[in-house]
Amino acid sequence: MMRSFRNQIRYILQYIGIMVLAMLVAIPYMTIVLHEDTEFSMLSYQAATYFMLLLFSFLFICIFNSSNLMPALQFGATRKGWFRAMLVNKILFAAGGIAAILLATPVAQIFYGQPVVFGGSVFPLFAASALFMASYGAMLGYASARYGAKWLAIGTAVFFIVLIGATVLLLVFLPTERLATLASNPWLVAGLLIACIPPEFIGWLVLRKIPAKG
Amino acid sequence: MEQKNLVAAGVTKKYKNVEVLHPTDITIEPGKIYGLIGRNGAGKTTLLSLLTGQNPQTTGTVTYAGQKVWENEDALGEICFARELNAMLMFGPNSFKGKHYLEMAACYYPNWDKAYAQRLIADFELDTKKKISKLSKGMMSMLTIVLALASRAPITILDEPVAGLDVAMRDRFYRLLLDDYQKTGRTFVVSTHIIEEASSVFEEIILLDKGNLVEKLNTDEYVSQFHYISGKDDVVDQATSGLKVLHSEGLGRQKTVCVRAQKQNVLAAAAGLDVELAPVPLQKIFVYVTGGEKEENLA
Repeated sequence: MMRSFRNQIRYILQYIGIMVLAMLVAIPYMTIVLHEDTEFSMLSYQAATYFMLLLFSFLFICIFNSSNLMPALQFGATRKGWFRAMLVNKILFAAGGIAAILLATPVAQIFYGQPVVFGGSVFPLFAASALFMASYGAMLGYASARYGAKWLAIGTAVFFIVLIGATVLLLVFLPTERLATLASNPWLVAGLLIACIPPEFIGWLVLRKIPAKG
Repeated sequence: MEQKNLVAAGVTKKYKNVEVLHPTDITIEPGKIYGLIGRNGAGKTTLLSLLTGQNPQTTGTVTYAGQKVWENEDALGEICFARELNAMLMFGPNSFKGKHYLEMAACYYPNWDKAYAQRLIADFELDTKKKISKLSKGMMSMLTIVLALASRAPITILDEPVAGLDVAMRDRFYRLLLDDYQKTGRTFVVSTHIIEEASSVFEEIILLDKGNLVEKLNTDEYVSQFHYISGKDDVVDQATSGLKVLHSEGLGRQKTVCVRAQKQNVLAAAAGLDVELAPVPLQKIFVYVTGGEKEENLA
């Protein structure tokens, strides 16, 4: 029990580390790439933070999950147990995403001296897409671990990066008013949330018979 | 108290359309050391991974103390399967440092003995700060031995634990195994290709050949069924007529034959004939039973 508790603490600390890293990297990223010629925008900074968070989370999931699943199964972990753990991961990622966006605002204020302006109604869209992305990250973990195959992992990674890219483009380049309109649409947000579900089921279908190869 | 047997009943395993393990019934009883032997591709690792719920069987059932093993946390916590580590894999344990690998194992085995693990690491002079993929074959074997012994799991299964170990380390391993067995009385199943030096350790042997369970017998009882009969070829032929001959080799007029029969039958057949009788080492029995001598003849 104690060991398990310590592990949970360690994982949470790792997530916080990723989150902080994402926020810090987002500053030069935004400065150099997004806002060389344009005016600073808090929303863009949040989007950049989110993008970085997803990128680091993706790398983390890819390396961590696929490396852990095999030994865990070899040590007598159950696939159900692992699935539960993945769900917890997903929730942590989503929570991390939301927290990073919230924290990004005061961080940006420190660096840019801008007043704190939170993204307002864009927030639900961020939250929904954080969940969405995290679920694909989890799926990637399953898939690469399932086959222990680098090409599958790479294929899924490419898919994942494209998906992130599309989301970021949407968040960064769509006019703020338009985003706010989209995010205020409960059907859209609900749709994004529902979109989080299928990968978990697919993941489970793959995982339930997975052999623990050495 | 209920005896906690690990039982496979009618298990088979198919990969696509190829059945690599044919219908197999086997019972692993507590308090014994089993030796699992078989040629490459005989289905040893497949059988072990089915017994430990690491791979789903195509048909049949695997139970521990009457409960299904597959996806059963209670049962799996009492069964340790120390698999052979392979440096070539990109994913899985290879990205771990040795100490992290053992730390992770400690999370899953309720009886994990940390102090014992540390003693073994010190004894083997094992560098657990290195990544598994950077360890030598022998070091990897040592790590799996630490895992198996420190797990203190009532059923402990080791797949090729001595691969890559030198003679001294192999001897050290078998002494540790016996020592632990005497102290705890736990069950060990050891799969190995180095049969001769392990034969004295195994209480029972399980022999697999081409996906079939050929034998599961007390080692002494099994070995006592095989005999060498040697002498002049015509006399040996006379002595072995009516006996099951497994192998025959000659040099000039001298001939040596391996037969499988009860000792009294062999003695009766050889009575009054000028032949010598000798026991057959387990390794040779294995070669004769699994057809390994065919390759020798081809060479």
